[in-house]
Amino acid sequence: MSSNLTLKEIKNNIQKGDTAPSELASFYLARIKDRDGEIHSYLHVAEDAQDKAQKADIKAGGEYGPLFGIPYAVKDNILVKDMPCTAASKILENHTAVYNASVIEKLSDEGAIVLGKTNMDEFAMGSSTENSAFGATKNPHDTSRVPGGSSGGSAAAVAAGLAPFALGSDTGGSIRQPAAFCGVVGFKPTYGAVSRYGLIAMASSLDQIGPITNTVEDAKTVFNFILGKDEMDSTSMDLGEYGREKSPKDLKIGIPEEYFGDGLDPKVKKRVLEAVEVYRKMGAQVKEISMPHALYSLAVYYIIMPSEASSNLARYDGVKYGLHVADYETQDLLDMYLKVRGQGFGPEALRRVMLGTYILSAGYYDAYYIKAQKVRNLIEEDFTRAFEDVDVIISPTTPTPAFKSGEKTQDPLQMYLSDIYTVSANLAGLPCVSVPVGEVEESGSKLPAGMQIFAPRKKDHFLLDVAEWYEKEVNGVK
Amino acid sequence: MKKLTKQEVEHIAHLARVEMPAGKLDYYAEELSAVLKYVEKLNEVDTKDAEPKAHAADLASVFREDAERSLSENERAGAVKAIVSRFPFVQKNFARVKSVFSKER
Repeated sequence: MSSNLTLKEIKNNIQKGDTAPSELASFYLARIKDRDGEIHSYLHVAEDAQDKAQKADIKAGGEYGPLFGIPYAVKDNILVKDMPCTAASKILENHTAVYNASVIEKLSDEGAIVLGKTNMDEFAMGSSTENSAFGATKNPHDTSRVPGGSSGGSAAAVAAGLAPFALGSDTGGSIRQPAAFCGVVGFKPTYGAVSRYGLIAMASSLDQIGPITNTVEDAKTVFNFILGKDEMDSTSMDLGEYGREKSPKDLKIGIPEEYFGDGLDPKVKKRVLEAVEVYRKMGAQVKEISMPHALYSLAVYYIIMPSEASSNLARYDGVKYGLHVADYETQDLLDMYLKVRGQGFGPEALRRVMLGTYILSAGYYDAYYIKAQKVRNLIEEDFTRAFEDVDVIISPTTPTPAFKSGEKTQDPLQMYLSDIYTVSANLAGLPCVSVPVGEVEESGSKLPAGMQIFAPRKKDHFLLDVAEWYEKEVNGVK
Repeated sequence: MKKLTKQEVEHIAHLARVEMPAGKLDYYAEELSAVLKYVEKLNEVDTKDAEPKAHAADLASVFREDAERSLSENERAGAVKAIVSRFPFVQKNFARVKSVFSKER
């Protein structure tokens, strides 16, 4: 069996009777055992995946959908009932989930089987998966480098063939940036397109769950089963009807100059522009556009995200679940809060909780928070204006390829800058997909580069079609 | 630019309900000030005519019937057990916490 089969190929193998779901599960469990010691993409491996797959064997042969019997990996901030769920934080070290996230329910209904929970930056705070309380994940293309983050475990697992697909979450680029670093596809849907029920919240107005896959076609398959309105998430919605609206010949692509300026590695830039050229050769029109507020996105993000995170993380208090300290060590309730939270949160979580607390405190709220909300509006207006003229916008996903482990851990601001191109899609709530565009050479290593394609809100299906045109043109139709 | 002092960091940490070892105050004062300095670039943006935006979703208020969701006796017992089993300190079906007011404070 090969570890880089697409979901369609796997489904065909199951359908033809060539592969039983249980063989599939044991294949991936064995690969994880064999290779994950080096990569460390999983925090928890579901030993019961084998049993579940054996039950699926019996049902195989009947009518079933494209995900039946297919194992997958889940970022450790998405709840899977009775499985550990830590968000890679010490404060949840021994926590097991009480219920399934809506996305997990939906995928279970289709017969997909959870292989395990993947490593991440603590509470999805980071861009390298080095902020995990349980050890860093390595990039499968070069293990001296980071896989990106915060969904670094999910991206590395798919890239290393340790899962056929994975779920991640994206608050400021946490699906797309690791996908670009690991050479896989990462899709952040429109805000609200996928239910967040059962996702451990970081910044609620920005968080979104999405798939990490080998191909755009696979991303479509997974997305089609996780999308839709969910009464348990009042911000969720249906995307509405989609008719195939365009072909590459009448596609208009916008290239924003602000995303191709200073700070962008010329080798990455070259790959992305080559990808744009592929569209042009297919008949698309390409035009340069300007998004004057684009480069303020990161500053807006570092006000809004910590503000929301500081309130979301207030729930970790040592009373209801998670880390606790012995009775005799604390004198009263306040003392217990201080100790549990002081010991349980890692440095990045502490930074953001304190930053948010400061920004929202009396006297600073208007200067920081309201100001950021106003610029957020201007960023969204930039997109609205741009989309009057073009159908999609293409930019690099990241300014550089994967950096070395440890390179940016001492300088948080440098680390934050690796999300400079991705955060705007979250602020504006847009769908955005990162697609591999070949490799670049960096001190002897061949490292993947990614382009991201933005589309207007709710145009997720159209966006994935556009991404697939490129993929099929470059790889040939599989 | 705004540079946070050790005392300010100590105060913020307390508001955020985290115990901060004295030896770490300088470190966080540096780190937080660096981020605050970075976000100050927003002052370059003219926002005279811009409305603040809290959310990218076009949402109206979402209401549902104020109705009880009924669970069977078994489901209810199962849910209670699952939740109570996560409490660090339990007394019957309650989470036990330290006293809110202590004599020493």
